[in-house]
Amino acid sequence: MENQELMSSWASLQARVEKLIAVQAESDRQNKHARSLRHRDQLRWAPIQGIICAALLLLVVGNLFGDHWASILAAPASALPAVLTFGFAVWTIRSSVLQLILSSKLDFNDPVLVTQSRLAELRKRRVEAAQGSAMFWLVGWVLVPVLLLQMLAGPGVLVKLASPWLVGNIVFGVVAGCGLLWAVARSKSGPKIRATLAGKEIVEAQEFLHQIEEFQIP
Amino acid sequence: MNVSAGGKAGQQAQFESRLNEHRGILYKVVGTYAWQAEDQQDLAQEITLELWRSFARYDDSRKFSTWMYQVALNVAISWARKAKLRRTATVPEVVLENIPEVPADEQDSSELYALIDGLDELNRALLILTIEERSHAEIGEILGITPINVATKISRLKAQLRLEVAEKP
Repeated sequence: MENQELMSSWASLQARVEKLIAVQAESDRQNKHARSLRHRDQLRWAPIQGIICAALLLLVVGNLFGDHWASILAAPASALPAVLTFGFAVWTIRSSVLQLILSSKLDFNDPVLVTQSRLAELRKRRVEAAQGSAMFWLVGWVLVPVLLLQMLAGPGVLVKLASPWLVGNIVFGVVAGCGLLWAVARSKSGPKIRATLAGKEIVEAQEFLHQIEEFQIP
Repeated sequence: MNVSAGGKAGQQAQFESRLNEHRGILYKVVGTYAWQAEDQQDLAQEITLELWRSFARYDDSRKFSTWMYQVALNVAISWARKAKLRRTATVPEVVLENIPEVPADEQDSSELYALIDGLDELNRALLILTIEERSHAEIGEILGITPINVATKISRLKAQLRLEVAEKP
């Protein structure tokens, strides 16, 4: 295909697209407009929701430490659920704040490579946040009720809970999580969720960032 | 963009008039990144929406077409990357056959589709701007690279396309 042929194919292709869009432009406009707006809002709402959830968890942990500090010092192992939850909450807040900063810097008026690298970075952070949450809540669904129980009855309640009960619940959490993933994999959005949890999207985002870096080098 | 001068209605009228004047850019970008009819419509709407959102921050001292390419390419590349996970087919069966009045050379078009499909998102942007004979300085401004870098990339892209065409049976 020589230059001239390329130009004429290009003109023909353009004319076809132009015609098609003109014919179909009016149909379903409202629905798609709303969908596009929702997608943009998600970039901000997902990290805000993350911060709210993490702040609530921190409140519970802080309450436990404040009310039962002496008991925790006497039996430090009883603070394990609180420490794990605290770590997850701090990590979530950090990740969510970074996402908010990146999304606030996002401007489609900026040059293509600048915007695209910010988007790829944001995508990477969002997927990491989703993966981290999924991992935590496999055991978090036991940790958080235990934490609430400790807040009401004191850290010593952990000792009173039979360890087979705890282990059983954690195992159940893992099994239920896997079952949920299996069910999700059979749904329409299964491939997307699987790719997210497996980190495929992170790999793609990193590759794209690398591609952008290379494009910037003459 | 000075909004206060004409108010929102004036701004909208100005936007519509400029968009109509440069509508070709929209079609070129859409045709390069979306293959299926529904996708093309979807992408065209996303680009138009983003152009309208960004119009308030458009700097009058810049060429409108440069700004429009910048925004449209940003939306299209993001859209194409999102679509990658859900897309299964790559080279399209041409879905525009219901529009008989447009003369087209099927052979050439599918060849061009195949060439474009073989390129990554950034090189597709470069291809559009090169075919449209934009200056290296303008391409650099849109993409965010130096004009020297643009020249290097264009020559590499041409070499790559030549090679792909030569390898075809």
